[in-house]
Amino acid sequence: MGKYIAKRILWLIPIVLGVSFIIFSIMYLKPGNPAQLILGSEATQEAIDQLSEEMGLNEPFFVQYFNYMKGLIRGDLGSSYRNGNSVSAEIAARFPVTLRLAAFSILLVCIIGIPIGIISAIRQYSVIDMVSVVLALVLASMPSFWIGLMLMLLFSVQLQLLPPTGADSWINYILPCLTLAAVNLAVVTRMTRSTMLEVIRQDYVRTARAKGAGEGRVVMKHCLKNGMIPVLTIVAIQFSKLIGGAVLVESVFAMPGLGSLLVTAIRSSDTPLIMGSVIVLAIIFTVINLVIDLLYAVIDPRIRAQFAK
Amino acid sequence: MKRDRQQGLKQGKFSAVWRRMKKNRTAMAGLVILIIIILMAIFADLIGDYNEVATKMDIANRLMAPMKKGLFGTDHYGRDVLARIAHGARVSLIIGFGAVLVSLVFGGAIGATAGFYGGRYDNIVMRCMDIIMAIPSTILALAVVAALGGGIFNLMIAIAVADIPNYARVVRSSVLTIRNADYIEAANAVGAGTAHVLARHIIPNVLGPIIVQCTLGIGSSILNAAGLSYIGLGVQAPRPEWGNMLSEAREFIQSAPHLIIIPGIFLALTVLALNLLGDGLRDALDPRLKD
Repeated sequence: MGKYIAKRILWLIPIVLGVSFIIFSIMYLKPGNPAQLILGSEATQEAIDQLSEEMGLNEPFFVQYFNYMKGLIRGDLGSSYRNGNSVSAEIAARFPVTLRLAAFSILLVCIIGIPIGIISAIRQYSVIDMVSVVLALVLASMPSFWIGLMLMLLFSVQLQLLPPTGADSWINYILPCLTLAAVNLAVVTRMTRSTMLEVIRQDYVRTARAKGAGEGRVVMKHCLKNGMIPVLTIVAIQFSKLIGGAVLVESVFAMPGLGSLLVTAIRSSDTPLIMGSVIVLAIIFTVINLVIDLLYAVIDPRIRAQFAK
Repeated sequence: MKRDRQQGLKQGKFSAVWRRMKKNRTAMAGLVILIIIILMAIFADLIGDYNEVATKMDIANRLMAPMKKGLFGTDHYGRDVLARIAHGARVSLIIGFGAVLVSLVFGGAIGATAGFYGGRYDNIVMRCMDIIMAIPSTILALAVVAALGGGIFNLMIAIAVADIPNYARVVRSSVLTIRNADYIEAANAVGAGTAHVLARHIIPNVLGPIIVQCTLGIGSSILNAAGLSYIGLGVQAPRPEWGNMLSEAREFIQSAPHLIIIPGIFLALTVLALNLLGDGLRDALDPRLKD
């Protein structure tokens, strides 16, 4: 078990190296001279050349990449081309908004999605089941930003109950969280339904029923405990996807999170900021996936047993 | 002789799939919606000429409600929304199909060779795919667009790049299950070359899961493209695309909500149609569900 965990954690190193290499290469291909960008169109050629030299832009590709990685290890992601602020500081300031958004959304998804999935499975082909299957299909086909716009149209414009933009208080989080939850609800509901349907047909469930266990006890104790493992995995996967998906929803509701930071950075071709945000998002994504895999091994005795020897 | 028999077998397989598809009412509904949208895209110029209607400003008739002027009203420049929806369908479908084609070709080649040759090559290639998958796909597409710039072609590439690992995985796992089948061994035994075995035996037999993945992939590519265009990094105005129509309409959410409702409905309908069709194909292609 210890060996497995160590192996998985060590695997993080090539991932981070690979991801940063890919992003660095993509950004390297980007046309335009950053020195020109910083100094503006009025700058003389000498000034541009001098700044390029100072920034190490004339170095070969691999030297530039190596220097960037040296900074990354120390937590220094360079400074923004636009305002000179430290990229790490900018990201640290924006990250809590995105994290809160993703965390509340996933909580909503669990509170709504899992019970609906369970009920659909227990009462297969009932009205609730039909409605939830259709709803899941429809929600999964809608673009997240459009769901956001429609919620805004209903709650902010028509009913005037909730503010359309901003992130000043918890009220601002309601619409974005609902949007993100709606998009991810479908996956979790479907997964809960299908694993529960599978579990309900198992022999041990029949045995429990034959022994005379009540329906509630059968569902709660025998089915739920065994059916929740894949559901937990999918919830965790959705959580890491949420962090990436928040980009669009943050722009719809003008929330100052990592996603909108990335979008502004791209619009103003602020390469260090783009690279920093993408690498940080990718690292978070990878770490969450690692934690899921480890959790999986901890929760499921069958997987634990594989590594016990 | 041999060729005839194979042709016959193949036709038999396709018509069996089609027979099962026809029984699935939701899948057929998806197919009908998709055909209507494809027809709309093909005949977009008949619905409204690109230069004369879809991108022509007419400030006197701006922000007209649906049915007051044209079927879907007009936008903030007085352009006809129906014509813009039809031309937008063209862009969305081209990007959706194009992105899937690109990632299928590259992902398919990577996955097929990895699954076929196995060993160290397989290991290295699939670890590289893992690294690409470690970047959330929206974010990777954003980064590629940031480097290449907007526009239909770049958008297609950006979305395709992020999807390549998915196709590589599907194709690889299908190839792996088939590689050890008896008929492959038989083909090898009679001296068939690698290329022949790949093209004649492996590819036709892994088509099922790939078709399903592609159908669902077109839908998600359309959503991704619309999302990137919504934040202003994809298809650029004045060319109409459903995502950038939504982003232009956001300012007028109070005065002209139809500008937000209509493009979204078309996006959702198209993707829903593809999802229904994909699910139907999965059931029809799965021999375990055979009637």
